[in-house]
Amino acid sequence: MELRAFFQGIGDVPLWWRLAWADMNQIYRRSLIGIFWISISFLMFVGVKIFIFGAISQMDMTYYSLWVVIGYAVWNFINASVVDACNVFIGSRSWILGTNMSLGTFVAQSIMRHIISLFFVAIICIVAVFFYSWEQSLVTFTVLLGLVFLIINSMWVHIVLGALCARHRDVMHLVQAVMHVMFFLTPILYIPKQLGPKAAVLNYNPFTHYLAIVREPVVNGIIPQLSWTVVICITIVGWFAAIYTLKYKTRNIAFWI
Amino acid sequence: MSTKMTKDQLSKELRSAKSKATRASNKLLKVVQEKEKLQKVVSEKETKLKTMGAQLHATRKKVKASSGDSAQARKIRENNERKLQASRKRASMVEKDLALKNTRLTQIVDYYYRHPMQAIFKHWMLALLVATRRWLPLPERWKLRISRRMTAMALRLGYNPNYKSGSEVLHFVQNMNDDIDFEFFASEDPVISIIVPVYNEITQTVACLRTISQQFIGVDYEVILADDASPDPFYTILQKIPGLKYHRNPENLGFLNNCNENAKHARGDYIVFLNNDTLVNSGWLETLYNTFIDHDNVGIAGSKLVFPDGRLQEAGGIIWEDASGWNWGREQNPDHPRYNFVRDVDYISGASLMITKDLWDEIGGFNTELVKAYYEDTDICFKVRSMGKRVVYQPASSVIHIEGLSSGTDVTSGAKKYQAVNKEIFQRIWADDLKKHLPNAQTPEIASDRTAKGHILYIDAVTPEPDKDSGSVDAFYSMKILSMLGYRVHFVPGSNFAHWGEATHDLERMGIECIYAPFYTSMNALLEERGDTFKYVVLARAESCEHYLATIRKKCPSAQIIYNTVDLHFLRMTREAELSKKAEDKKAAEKMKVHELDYIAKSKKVIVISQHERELLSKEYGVSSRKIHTIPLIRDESERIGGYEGRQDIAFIGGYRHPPNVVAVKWLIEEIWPVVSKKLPDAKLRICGSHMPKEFYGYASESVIIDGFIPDLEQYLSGIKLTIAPLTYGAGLKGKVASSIGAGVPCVGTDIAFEGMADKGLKNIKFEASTPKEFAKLCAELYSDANKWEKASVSGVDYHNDNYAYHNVAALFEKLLK
Repeated sequence: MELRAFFQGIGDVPLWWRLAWADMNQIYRRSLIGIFWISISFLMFVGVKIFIFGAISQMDMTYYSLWVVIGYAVWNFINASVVDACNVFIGSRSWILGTNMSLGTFVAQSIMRHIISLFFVAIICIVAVFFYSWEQSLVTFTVLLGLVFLIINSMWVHIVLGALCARHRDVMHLVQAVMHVMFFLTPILYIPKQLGPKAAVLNYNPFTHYLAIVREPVVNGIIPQLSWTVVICITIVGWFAAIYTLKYKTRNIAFWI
Repeated sequence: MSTKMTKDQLSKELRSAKSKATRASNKLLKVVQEKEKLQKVVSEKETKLKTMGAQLHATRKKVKASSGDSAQARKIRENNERKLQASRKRASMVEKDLALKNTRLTQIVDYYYRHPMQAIFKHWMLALLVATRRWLPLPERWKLRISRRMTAMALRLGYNPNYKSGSEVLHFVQNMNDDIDFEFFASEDPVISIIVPVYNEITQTVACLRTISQQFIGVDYEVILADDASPDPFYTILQKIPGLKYHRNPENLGFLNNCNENAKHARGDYIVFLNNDTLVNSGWLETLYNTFIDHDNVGIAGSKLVFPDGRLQEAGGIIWEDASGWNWGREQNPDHPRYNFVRDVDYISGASLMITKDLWDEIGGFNTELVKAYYEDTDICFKVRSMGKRVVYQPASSVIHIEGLSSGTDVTSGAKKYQAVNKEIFQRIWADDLKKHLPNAQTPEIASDRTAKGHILYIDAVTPEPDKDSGSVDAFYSMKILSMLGYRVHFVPGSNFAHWGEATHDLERMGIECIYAPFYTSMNALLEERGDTFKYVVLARAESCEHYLATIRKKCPSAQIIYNTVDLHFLRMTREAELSKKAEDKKAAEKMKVHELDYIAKSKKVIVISQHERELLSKEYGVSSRKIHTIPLIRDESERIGGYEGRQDIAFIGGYRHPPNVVAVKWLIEEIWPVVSKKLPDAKLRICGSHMPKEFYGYASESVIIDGFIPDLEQYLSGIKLTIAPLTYGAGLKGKVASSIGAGVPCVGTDIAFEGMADKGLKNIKFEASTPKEFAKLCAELYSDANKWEKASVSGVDYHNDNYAYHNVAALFEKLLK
């Protein structure tokens, strides 16, 4: 019952699409550059990082730049997904209490916002790829599959964290704190090789693998098998958790928020 | 060690502070020097003034001496007199100029004294802005904004914003010539005449004209530039704009007379007055023009005015009983639902005002009793209303207005001083009308919608999309009729509070306020804000009652609750259960019955769609028949396109979210169509409608075509010969049958399909069948016999117009609200 209602909400595309777009409009309302601020802020951050860290690490600039641009773009999506997931039901409090809308609508609305952001960041990535005239092959197209997996994972994260944070408000702060740390524990600004033997530690960080399935095909032209295995396993486990949450926990959400 | 460190640090800081202080004092010194310089200028001008006075004296003496002499002497005297006048004028001007300079200077020195650091910072910012504007290839709109910001900053810092060095002037002229990269289409026979009164501000005027040239509109328009003898030497640039009708007054007439004088050149049926300190947004002209087309009896229409920083300046004006004005919504969010529906207002600002030419000629233009400027727009709005026409605010048309650019905002000086003078004159002229207005600033919410008979809250599950399903058409026209009757309808899409794009805009264009997120995300938010203002609350469908009936009874104590059943859900569900024979369906139907009867009991009035349902409710369930009102389908007046010839095929129309339609299609395909097809081998069956299940596409064959969703049903039906409606259950009146009959396409259907239709003229249009054989027989008769078809078709259109055209249904609503 709860499951069906949830997926009906996901299926109501015109509704969440309109809500997500209205959100974006509200965020960038009255600004001159509007939604392109996403691209600009991304560009600024990446530019400075490449300038400073590139100089320190004495790496091949082309390789390092692409590494940072794509890594940070994916990280942006993951970070926004995880952090916003905590707030997905709490933020829609008045809707959940006031209307009969499906929870799926709010999840889809939140993810759609991140996809829109990702789109504007991806513009920069594509320009970067062509700018550095990086050689691309058929392997590169597995990136698209990687993105699909990111979105599928983002969904279960929203369901699980959304419900968890609604019940236990500390989790939200915990997640935020952890995500700050994870930024440095994930190979975004540095390349694992630079860590030497310690690089193996990175493999225990799941975010490394989420980054790898999108970044490796573009930067190194390979399909990272270990990463894919890890991602698929986490996806399956995550979705079990999500279905459990949907089935047994979501009916309480209205009381928690 | 540490003390030494701190000492070092301290001395370092001291040094840097000292250097900062010296820099600031240097700056100050400069300013003081400048002040001295200016004081010198002041004293110089004073001496000049004195010499002028002496000259004056001498001239006077001369005049005296020459008086009473010959004709030549008189001539000299007159000449001198004129010279005298001129020098007097010049003297007073110099005096004023000096006084102004003096006060500004004190202000500036004061500013430097008080905030030296800020002043220095602002200098840098200004330099940065100057560089940005000059060197970056920014769009013109942005450059304009930067210029405006610079002007304000420069004034604060004591620069003369109008001062230009020689090279800068050259650069400016060059730029202006390059700027004119647009033109107007010189129409011989324009429908709209846009009049832009201009006094200086040439750059701004060019920017304004450019935005006008970018408007897309289906009718021709002309732009008349009414130059009120601008002293600015660059006015000649305006003459170079191709297609622009440029008129320059020989002398300065003031805003009011300038408009009146130049409106004589207008050739269109409509006149638009647009201030030159505006930039119009896309759709500005078209939506303004459409206001006259879509609404009855409009005399004046006006736009939404927005400040350059994006805040709302005015969404139609309010006039209080003491004749003072109020900009409704000033400094609020222009996207708020409250400011986004068409509404009658007290006045429309002259910054962007459209009036019909006939009315303008009849009135004779802006009232010349008023002086120069201000209140002329208010006065003309009052006059138009007194002639029985409407003054309407159109939010879809929006204009960025840089208020006060041309005349400042100080009421005691400049052109703005006429505001106070004209207010008195206005109050005298309209004393009687003003008595009907509300006292100053007490209830702006009520004053903003003074003319509405009352407020109606209309709650439905989702925003109606009339092109998608028949229920939407009814909801749409119900609200249209309610607003036609003079009420203000506030629509809530209760299941999602979403802004539904064009569908929401359509309602707003009709004068209905739509409630949506992020401004309102729950019914509580709305009802707490203004629950007590509603006279009626209409709840459409049982779902709305389920969610909101209790809240509304609590929070809108003075409102009458009207429950619009749309169709009685329990009736439909019972029939469905009879067919499916499932116990759970029956239980659900029973439950729904209890709920619906409860909602009916708790409402003051109930709307049902057919006489059949009314009788059922009053006879079987003991609902008082005075409480129940039958309001059938509501449709536009219809007209038949084309006759028997050129039409072919038989169609099934329906929205497939409604389960009876899905069942009907199955029966049609599996049992009825094979029999019909045998009798009519040439005819094809077409299945269309929204939200079609995927399995339908499997039905396609040589004689069955799956058309899917049809955006323009009217057009579609004009090529169809017959429709078929083999419905086995479902309650209420069937939209598809009504649409088909209204379009002059006869319909063959079951008894259920024709259930609930009005009795008047029903026998001419009801082709009833219950078995596949009967369907085949009737279809074949109508399909092949031109005379029979023609008769059925014509009586169908008549039936539709008599019973369902919304002009006729309006009377039923009037009865409901009595």
